[in-house]
Amino acid sequence: MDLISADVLLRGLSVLADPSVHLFVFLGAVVGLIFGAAPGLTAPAAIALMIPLTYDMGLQTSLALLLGVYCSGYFAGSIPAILINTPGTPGNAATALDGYPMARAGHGDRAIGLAIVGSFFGGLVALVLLATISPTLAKFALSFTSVEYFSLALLGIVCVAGISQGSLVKGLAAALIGVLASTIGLDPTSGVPRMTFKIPELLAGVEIISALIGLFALSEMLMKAHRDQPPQEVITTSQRMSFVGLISDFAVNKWLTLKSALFGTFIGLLPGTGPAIGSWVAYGDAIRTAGDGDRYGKGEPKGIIACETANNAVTGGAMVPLLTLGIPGDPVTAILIGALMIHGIEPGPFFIRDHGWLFVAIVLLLFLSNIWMVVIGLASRGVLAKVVQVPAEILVPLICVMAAAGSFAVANSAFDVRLVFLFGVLGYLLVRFDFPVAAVVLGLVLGPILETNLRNALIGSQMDPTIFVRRPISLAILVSMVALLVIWQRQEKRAARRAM
Amino acid sequence: MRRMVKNPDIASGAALILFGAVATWLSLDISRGPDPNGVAPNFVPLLCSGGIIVAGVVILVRGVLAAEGPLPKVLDRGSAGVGALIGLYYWFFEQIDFRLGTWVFITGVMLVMGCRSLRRLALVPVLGTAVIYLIFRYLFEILLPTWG
Repeated sequence: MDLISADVLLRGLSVLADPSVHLFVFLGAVVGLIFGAAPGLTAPAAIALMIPLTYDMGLQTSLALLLGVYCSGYFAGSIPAILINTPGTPGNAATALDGYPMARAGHGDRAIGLAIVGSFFGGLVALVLLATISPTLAKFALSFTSVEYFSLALLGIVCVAGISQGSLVKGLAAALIGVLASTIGLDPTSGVPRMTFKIPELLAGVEIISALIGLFALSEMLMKAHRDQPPQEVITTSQRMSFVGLISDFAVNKWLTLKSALFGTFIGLLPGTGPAIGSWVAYGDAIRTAGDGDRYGKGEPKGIIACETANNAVTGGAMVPLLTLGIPGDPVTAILIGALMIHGIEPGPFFIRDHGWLFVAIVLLLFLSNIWMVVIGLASRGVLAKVVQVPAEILVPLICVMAAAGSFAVANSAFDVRLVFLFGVLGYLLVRFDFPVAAVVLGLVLGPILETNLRNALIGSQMDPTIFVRRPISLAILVSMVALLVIWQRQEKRAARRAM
Repeated sequence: MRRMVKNPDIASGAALILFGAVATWLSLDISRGPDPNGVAPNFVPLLCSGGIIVAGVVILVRGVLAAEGPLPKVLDRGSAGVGALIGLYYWFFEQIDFRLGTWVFITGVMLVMGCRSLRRLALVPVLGTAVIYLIFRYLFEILLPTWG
């Protein structure tokens, strides 16, 4: 039986008939472009700040807004990478290697154009795969039990800890802090309060939106307030690019574009990964297959095409594990789980079966978001280049106010605002000591999935822990997790030896 | 203190061990619940706090064995000043009229961050407060704390 029938498909397509959906995709794309372009602000911070505003909105319009921010935010992080050599997100770090030298040579506008169109192609290829792979994977996942879900959630947490910048142990410690925080509140099975300090507001657990805003947005603002930030030299984009030249750049590099999009999509499919690893893998492959005249690292347009195509392809790829398994593919999709849950929708293997129309709608909204990203991006690239120059003394207080008002709006609770502050301080301290904040977020989101499935699996097997290695799919997941841990540990040791 | 800690990993490892120890103590304090045969409510918290302690020990040992490195400056005048203003603003968010509190907060943060332009100091707090208040109040229909 097909998971998506013709009726469901038509209902999904009807989303396009709602003018407010188009308006909110457009608004989301604008917000994403501004947040991505402003140095120190990121797409995850933008989505965390937007979620409280979607509480009173309909499901379609709130997803339109958030997916618009998601697609454009990842692309726009390339603008500060190109103009001030400061990537807007870790996923744009590789873009700076060729984008900044291009800008210094007077080709900043062309570099931004390449990033926009590359991101667009990446997004489209990922969408095709999202639409085709997800229903099949969801059917397969219907056979999963708590045992496989526990193993998958564990793999997701280990992956994000492993690929985070810095040490693997620090990544794991950060993820454990997130899981620990997710256990605060009433125990879902026995109703026993856990680490609530007799605070009634904590009985329902840590408000995930407050934690996300604190960890992503407020910690970034505290970092920007620190006075040891290096001064930034902003390069102007006075030399305009030619559209014919842009088209010919992509015509010449069509295979590189397609290959990078596929790299990004497949890396996005892996739970716990993200755009950073997608863009580095694509960039690494581009260098490996470089021709004689290529000048990677010195302003090679192919470098920007590879990175930006791959990092936006991750957005579509990362939606696959989210919508089929309920496991977020990257930190932003971890936040999107919260947005879906607000509307009573739980992502997982039953998502496409029970909400097939919404799956179709999400694919369409991602497509619309990509269209708006390229239209607004190309039309306003000069203005976006100016956003890079907005001084921190203006950005910091305004974002802090939005964070406070947004978290208050979730439940009209002053306690949630205080929680944002506490998580902001925690995030700031973690960043100062090189711990990955994204791992805490994944721990927070995956913690309840991990705990519920661990307990169900143990109770179902009469408390026999060998159940996790006796079921073949779970065993395969756990073996790949151990293999990844060994590989990352070896890489870390090799890097440490080289540094000495 | 700075001389005692020769590598930042020693400080972060020790902090993690302390955090894990407190979390373990809090987890042990969680009651067993009505079902004595099922998974105890403190099972996952104990696993996590134990894991945090182990990670802390590994990071601490690595720090001891590693070469000397500068301890990151956790606070300076900018981050301490802005952090204190954020703390006050967030803690008393509900008690103070949003429009007044936000205007004072934005002005304070701008001053702490070194803004000396009178035009910016006059315009940004007023416009920022008004725009955010109007967007929340009328576009998203969210009631922010006000007096009266």
